[in-house]
Amino acid sequence: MSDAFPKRTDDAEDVPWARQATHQEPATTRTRQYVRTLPSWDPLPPGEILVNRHRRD
Amino acid sequence: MSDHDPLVRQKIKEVQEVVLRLEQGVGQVGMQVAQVGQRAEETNDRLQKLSQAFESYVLQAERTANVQRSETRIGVVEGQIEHQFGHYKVVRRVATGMLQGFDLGLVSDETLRDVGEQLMIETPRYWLAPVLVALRSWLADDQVQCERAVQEAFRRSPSRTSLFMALMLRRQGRVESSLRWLKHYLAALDPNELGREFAVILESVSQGAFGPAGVEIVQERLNVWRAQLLSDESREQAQVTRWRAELERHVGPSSAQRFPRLAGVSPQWPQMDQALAKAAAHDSLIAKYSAMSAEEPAARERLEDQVDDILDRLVTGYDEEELPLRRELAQHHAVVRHHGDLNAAQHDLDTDLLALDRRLDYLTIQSESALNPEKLGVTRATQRMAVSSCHSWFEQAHAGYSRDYRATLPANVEAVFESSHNAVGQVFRLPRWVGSFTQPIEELERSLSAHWDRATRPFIDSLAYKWGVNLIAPIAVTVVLFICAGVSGTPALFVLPLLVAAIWGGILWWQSQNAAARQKEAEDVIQLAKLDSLQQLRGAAAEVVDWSGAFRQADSREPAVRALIADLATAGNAPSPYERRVGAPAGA
Repeated sequence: MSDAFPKRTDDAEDVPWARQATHQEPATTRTRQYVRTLPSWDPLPPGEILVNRHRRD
Repeated sequence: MSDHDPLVRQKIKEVQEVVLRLEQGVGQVGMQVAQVGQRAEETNDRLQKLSQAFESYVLQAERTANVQRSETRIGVVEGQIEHQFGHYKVVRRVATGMLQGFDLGLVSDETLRDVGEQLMIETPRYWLAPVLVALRSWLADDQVQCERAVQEAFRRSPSRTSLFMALMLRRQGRVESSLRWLKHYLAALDPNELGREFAVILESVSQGAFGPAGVEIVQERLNVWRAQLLSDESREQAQVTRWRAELERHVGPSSAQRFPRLAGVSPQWPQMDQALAKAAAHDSLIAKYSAMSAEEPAARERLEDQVDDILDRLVTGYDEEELPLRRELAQHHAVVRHHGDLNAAQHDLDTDLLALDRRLDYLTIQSESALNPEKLGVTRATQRMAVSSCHSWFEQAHAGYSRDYRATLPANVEAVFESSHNAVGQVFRLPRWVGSFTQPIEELERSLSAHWDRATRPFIDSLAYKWGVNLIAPIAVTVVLFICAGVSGTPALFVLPLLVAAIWGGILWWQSQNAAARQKEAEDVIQLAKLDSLQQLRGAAAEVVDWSGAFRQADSREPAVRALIADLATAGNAPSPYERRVGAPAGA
């Protein structure tokens, strides 16, 4: 079926490459709060030394 | 005769009846032909309708078949998705809940309850599951478990895990760790195949979402990619050529209307015109790129939203391995929605779903961001960063451009007057005259004037009255008449030759006056034409001086462009709107 499906021939894209279409509903309410119960350390990429920091107030 | 009349009348009547019948017959045949024509037309119409109905039927049958096929495939593909990626749904649901909890600053136990090792086992290839385990461990202050989960997630997808963690930590104000993850994200990317999310990251970094350190990290990575991609000399040359094309777009218009006389007489004009037009590009480049440097990049209102959009997509979007099936499913749904019309279905498809796998190489992104920011959809800040990264190619292209147009400058500017340069020259078929503007103008004028004189003198001389030739006949006739008068011995006859000589002399004088007038007239016309040539020459000489001034002025801007390009190298690190926002004192 995929082969039978016609390819889109119009060069102009609805959304430029560097932009993302924004018709999807946001997954969050975009409150952007900090989680205060997080520990002082952060998850780091493999091989990185763990960083300890003071807990956020 | 009278006996024959009734017979003749009878015959005529019979003939008339035959003619009448014949006419009626022809009329009937005509009607029948018209009927046949009408029927043929009706048949044609019916055939057309039948053909249309048949085509419509075929189309409808085709569409019905498409719908049936799609409906069947929907079931199959959904089954495949459920079978292969059924657990992904659960992961996404949990991930969305956790993302919402982090966004609200409070992650509930209920959300965490579903996150366990089991989820990781059920989705052995999905990176998001171990990431959730890592987040839960982080919340539970379990470093060992967190580290293990991070390693697993990183093994499954280094780029997505790194990007997710970078954005998540940034959202929680853990900037330093966020930058570490950002570095890993960039390192995990293939510069030959960069996706849309990279463009958004580049955009947000260039606008200061990760601070100056973020810009520095990105610049470092971009330098590595450049070195990697440009190890092949032809690729670097291709970039320089792109910038050369950009320079060529700034070439000015022709100056032929500004220097009409020079354009008319100098064979070197095309090179001169092109050199001036090309030199004019410097000013245009300064205007464009100075404006770009000076412009206060407008903060993208939705920058933070866009960064969050990426997080959303990472959590809710389909994974790459399920994308082919998801795309096929979307296509079949679209076909059913559009009752089997494949073209309409194709246009109705979600653009993102089609473009998700559209990837560009870094060099293309960099050059396009610098040269066609609107087409790519990047902002001024990204353009500035891209131009900054491209400054070496810009510099090379500009040096080559300036060198090339200067090399085309003619060593000698000549004036060439062909016979066609004015009407009289054309009539006289004036020979070609060539002079160089390196000589003083007085000398050139003298030379051109002498050229005109040499060419037209024979014609003017030919108009002079030829007394010698014209006097032979009257003198001979007069002498003969005198001899005749002497032989006759009649003194009165001597009057006749005198009279003939006087009349003939008068005619000759009148002819000579006419010839002199014609000669004067021709001299005047030629003089005017010569003056016109000299004026053209003087005008062209003056325009050579003007052109030289204009060219010097335009060309003198070349060092300014070089300086501007050097400045652009550092322009990518200019303070971004985000930095200004966070750096500004409160209440400022």
